[in-house]
Amino acid sequence: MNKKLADLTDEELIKVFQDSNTIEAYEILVKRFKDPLMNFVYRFVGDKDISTDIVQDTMIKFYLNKDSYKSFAKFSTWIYTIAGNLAKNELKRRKRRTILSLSNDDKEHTIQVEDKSYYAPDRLADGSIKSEIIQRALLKVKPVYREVVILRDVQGLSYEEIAEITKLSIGTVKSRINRGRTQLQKLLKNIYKE
Amino acid sequence: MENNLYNNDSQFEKIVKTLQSLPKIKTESNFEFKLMTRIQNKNFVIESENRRFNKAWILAPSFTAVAAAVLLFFVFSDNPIEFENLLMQEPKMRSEIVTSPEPGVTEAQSAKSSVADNTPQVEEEIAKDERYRVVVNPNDAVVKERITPTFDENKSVDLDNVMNGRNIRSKVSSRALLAGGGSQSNFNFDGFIFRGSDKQMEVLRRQIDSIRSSMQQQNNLK
Repeated sequence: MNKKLADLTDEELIKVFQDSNTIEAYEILVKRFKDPLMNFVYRFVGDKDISTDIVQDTMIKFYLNKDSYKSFAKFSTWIYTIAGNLAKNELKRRKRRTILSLSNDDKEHTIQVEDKSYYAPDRLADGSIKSEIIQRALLKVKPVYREVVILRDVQGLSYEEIAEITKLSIGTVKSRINRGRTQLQKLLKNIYKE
Repeated sequence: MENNLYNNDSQFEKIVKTLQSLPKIKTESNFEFKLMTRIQNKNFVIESENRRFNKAWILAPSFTAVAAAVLLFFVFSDNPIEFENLLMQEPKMRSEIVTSPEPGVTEAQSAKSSVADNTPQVEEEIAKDERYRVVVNPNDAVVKERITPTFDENKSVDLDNVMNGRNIRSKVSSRALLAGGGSQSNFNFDGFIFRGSDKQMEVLRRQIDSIRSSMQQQNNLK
């Protein structure tokens, strides 16, 4: 039975879970999506503990609101939407808390993430430092652009899936991805000079 | 057109590769166990939303400021310099200039403070039209004597009181009378109240008589 469930697609599994409240189907879906969601939320929020909480909450919401999923949509887009909304709420809450901080919404905001002289090339060769710099740069990109860039370039979703998750048109998604990439490129220009 | 413009991924080839090469973040090993425990316990509180409604952090700066103020208070309260709060001080009695503005209020209370002296203390009490003298004897016996004024109150001045500053407030008109100023056109001068022994009075009278006689002699010579 379990093997059979494991072979099912995401949409078939949620159908089983909706129809017979089979907890195994739910567990398989959790296993499939916990890591991709964690990666997406962490890149968007930048904090592991908060990201873990958000992914847990996403799974709880999925458990509680399984019936609100409609079969014509992809399960992945549905669960990404839940996680994305929770992550955006977290960012809003954090923004309210941060009274004295530089605004990330400033379009003219061109503060360098890292100074070239600070990170020597040999240190940049260290992958962990480089990925840390990229993560910091990502967090400086405007959230509306950051979300789509992560979904596209980190998670590898298609434009159609991103449009479905963000409830935007494909054109807007592409435009936002381009703007986000441009911002990121400016922020990381010292890395690419190497 | 728009699609062509934004489909040009080659422009961002490096950045796309960099993002794709980022390490994948995974959940903790006990993620599913925690999740299933929450579900079994029916603990469906959304942690991230619950955190959002926790407003305790708003008060954090206030708590910090209050704590700092309390600390500073205790740190600086050991300062050896003590400042006297003038508002908390007892008003100093200046019995020699303070008189009762209302008739009937005794001044004898101020005399009690100086009872320790062995000399008899004499104070006057003014009650309406009557004048009393309170005598405190060395054996602490207080005797109240009535004084019959020998001069018209309105036309005379108690020189001792004025000189000692006792009647500053209550007898302003009398002081004007003493100075001979004010609005009174007729300056009627009846004399002074003089406190002293008969011998002193006799000596003064003789001195005054001798002065008068010498003045008369001078006038006669002129």
